Amino acid sequence: MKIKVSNVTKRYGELVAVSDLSFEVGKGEIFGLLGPNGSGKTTTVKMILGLHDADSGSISVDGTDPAEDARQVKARIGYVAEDSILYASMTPRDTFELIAAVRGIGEEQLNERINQYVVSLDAREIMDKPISTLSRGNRQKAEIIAALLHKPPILILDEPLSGLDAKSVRVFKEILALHVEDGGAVMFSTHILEVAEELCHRICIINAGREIATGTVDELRERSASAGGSLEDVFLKLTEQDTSVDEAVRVLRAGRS
Amino acid sequence: MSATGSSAAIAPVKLWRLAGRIYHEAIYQGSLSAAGSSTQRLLERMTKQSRYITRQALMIQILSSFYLLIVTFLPAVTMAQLSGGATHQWNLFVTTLAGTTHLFVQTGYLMVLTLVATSEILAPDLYRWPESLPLRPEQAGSLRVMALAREFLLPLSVIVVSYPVAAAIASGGLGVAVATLFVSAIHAVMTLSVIVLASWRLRRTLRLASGNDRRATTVRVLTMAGYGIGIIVVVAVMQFGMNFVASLFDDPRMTEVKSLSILRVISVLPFPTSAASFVSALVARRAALPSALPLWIPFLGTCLYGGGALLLLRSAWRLIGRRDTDGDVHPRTVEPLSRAGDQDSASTTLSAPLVVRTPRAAFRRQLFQAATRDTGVLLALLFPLVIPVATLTGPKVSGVPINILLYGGPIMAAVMGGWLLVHGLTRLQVGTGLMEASLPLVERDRAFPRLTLCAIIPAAGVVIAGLVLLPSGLRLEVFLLSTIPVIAVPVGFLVKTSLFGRIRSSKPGRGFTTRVVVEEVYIDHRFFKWVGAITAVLIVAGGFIALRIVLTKVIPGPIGTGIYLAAAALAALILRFTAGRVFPAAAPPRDRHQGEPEDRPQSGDRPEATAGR
Repeated sequence: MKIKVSNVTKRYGELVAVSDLSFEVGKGEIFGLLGPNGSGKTTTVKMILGLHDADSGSISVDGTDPAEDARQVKARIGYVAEDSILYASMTPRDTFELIAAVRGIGEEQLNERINQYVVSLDAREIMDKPISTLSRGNRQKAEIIAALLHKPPILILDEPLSGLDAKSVRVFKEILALHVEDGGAVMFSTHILEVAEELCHRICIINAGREIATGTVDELRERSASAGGSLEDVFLKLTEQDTSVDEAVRVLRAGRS
Repeated sequence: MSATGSSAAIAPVKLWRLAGRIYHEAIYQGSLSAAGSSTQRLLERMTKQSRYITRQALMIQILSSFYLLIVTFLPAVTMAQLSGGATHQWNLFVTTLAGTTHLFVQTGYLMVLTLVATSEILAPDLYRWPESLPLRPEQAGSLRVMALAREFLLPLSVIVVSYPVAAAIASGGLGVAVATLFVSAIHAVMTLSVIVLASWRLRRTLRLASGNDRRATTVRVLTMAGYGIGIIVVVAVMQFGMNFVASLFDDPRMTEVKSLSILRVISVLPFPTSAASFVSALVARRAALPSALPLWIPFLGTCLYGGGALLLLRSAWRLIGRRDTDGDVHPRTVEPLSRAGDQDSASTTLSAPLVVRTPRAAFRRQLFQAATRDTGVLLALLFPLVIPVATLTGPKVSGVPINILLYGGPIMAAVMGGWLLVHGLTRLQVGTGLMEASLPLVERDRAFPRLTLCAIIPAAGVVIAGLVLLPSGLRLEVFLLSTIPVIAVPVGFLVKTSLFGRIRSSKPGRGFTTRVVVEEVYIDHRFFKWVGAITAVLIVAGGFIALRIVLTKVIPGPIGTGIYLAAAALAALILRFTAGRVFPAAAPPRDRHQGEPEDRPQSGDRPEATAGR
């Protein structure tokens, strides 16, 4: 298994951010981690990256415990965060050079990969502009290239498609397909459930830090008794948000009259 | 700029207020582009203080006006010293030199301070919202003029008024003041025109420039260091400029008639000398000094200067009134799309390949790049260089004992310079460090370049102060004492990072591990932690100064110097050892299963990518 999360719990004082969570991501798999805002997705990702320690349970990334050797784990992961994590005052060129220096990527490999990604994502024009001046979509392209530069066996992607235009979305999906074809693993988090339905082989839905259900989309449909329903229907039903959505719709309609 | 075609129009008073908002927005954009790691802090301040930018704009105007005013002391004092002691030609030459320097500094300084904001005002972005208002076309055009007026009204008023007042005080004549008013009005027109023309030429570079554009970087750095430059200029004018001019007056070699032809040439040169020459000639005439230079010569030069200024103003006015700027500058967040068939875009390689450096070199480069976009980092790197000379110039002029200057330099460099440097080098960048946290980096690679700068920059400050303020016979001593900040400031860095950046990780059943990061993680008890760091610096610096004084008295000569150097070398070794403990090297590669063979990095990757360095 590429990523193995076993009975992990994380508390911040009184707040239980993640509770007894378990899942596995295998080779050649795109695994979706879905949940409402504040459900514990980002905390889980940070524990996998070794940025936070779990209070109990265990995490293994390619056989390494991130709490014991975070550097080893980070060397094998490419991470795209929900909010931009690149330095706004630097240009993509400077950022990629810095990342290459830290990750120990050879100059030839770096330029080969950069040319490949920059051309395919149509990002030549942004290379020498400060990241702070880039549009949301172009900033996201820089984030994606930064995560892919070292050809990591594992990708952890938090809302990677935000702001991308249709062509870039298509190219990015192709990048993911090639990645899993080569035996890589992807952990994917998004609020766009149509994308998750299209891309993910398996999905884990969490709410309030707890695992609600894990399986393929069909298995989740079966579990939620939503035969023929979309992943959105399944998600709302499993996270018990369907009734509150109905209530919100009722209020809006009542306000019209 | 286009306006909606409505018969309703906004009253001029409201238009003036609207122009104020545009000026404030330009200040905000300029502040944001130079905020760097303080961007979040800037936004928080704006959230807490609704009139933060208004106050900032006012402060900029008051400070810049203050500096412009202070510079006028130079010609004022010089004109007041006009006497019959030297030849008339020499008198005129010195006063012209002082007046020209004053005019030149005023233009340059105002340009440095306003170039970025003016380029924002000239660009179309700030007018997109006003375009949606019911403005008549001529009102839309005057909005840009009003925004520039909001920016320049106070500083240009100071420029116009200060020189005549100085001339009036020096000469005691109202006529001289009126004539000088004519000169300074020309100078104000020329200054405004030059700034508008330069901002127009640089607006694309400044607003959309690539991060590596040297011209944009230079302008940005000069702008960011504007107040620092102002302080240095004020110190230089007050201390050195006036002393220099006084010494020129007293120069006994200049009592003979010399260089009349040179004086006539500089008097007729429109810029930068004719205006100052004209004022000097007027003051001299008022003082009834013998004249060898007919007044019409500098007057002619001043008229030529006025004509040139009007031509520049006409060019600037045309640019201000241009309405086709929408096509010239792309909006801030939209990049130009690559055109189909563009040969450059069709290429599959970048024109400039990326360069891979060692991690330490890469982080050192990142620091210097940050200095071009982050005022805090820039000042942190620059100020320690000038703090000893800036703080000790006053005492030197006051005639304090030489030992105070000798030992004060290292103390100022270590404590004040060190504090600024350590604070600036440990600021958290935008992105709250998550990018670096997601990389497999060794904190030592980030810390050691900073430690090196902590050692070098304050030591350079001590050497500069020693060379400028102390007699040449003390140079060896200055170089010896420059070792004090080399030891003391890195000690402050280590203490500060250990107090603010120690992260403790716990694992059930496996105890605790601790590591230190460069940035401030725990900001509780901030004051006491800083007191601790500065106390450590003071103890080390004070200890070394005491050692040097004792050695100088007890074992003077080479042996004492050798003992001091040996002590410094020993301290450096202990420091290096301690730094290695605080920021340890990477753990050696672990002898265990690390995933499937096919998952290992691609061939050609350095082994450090997955193993410890």
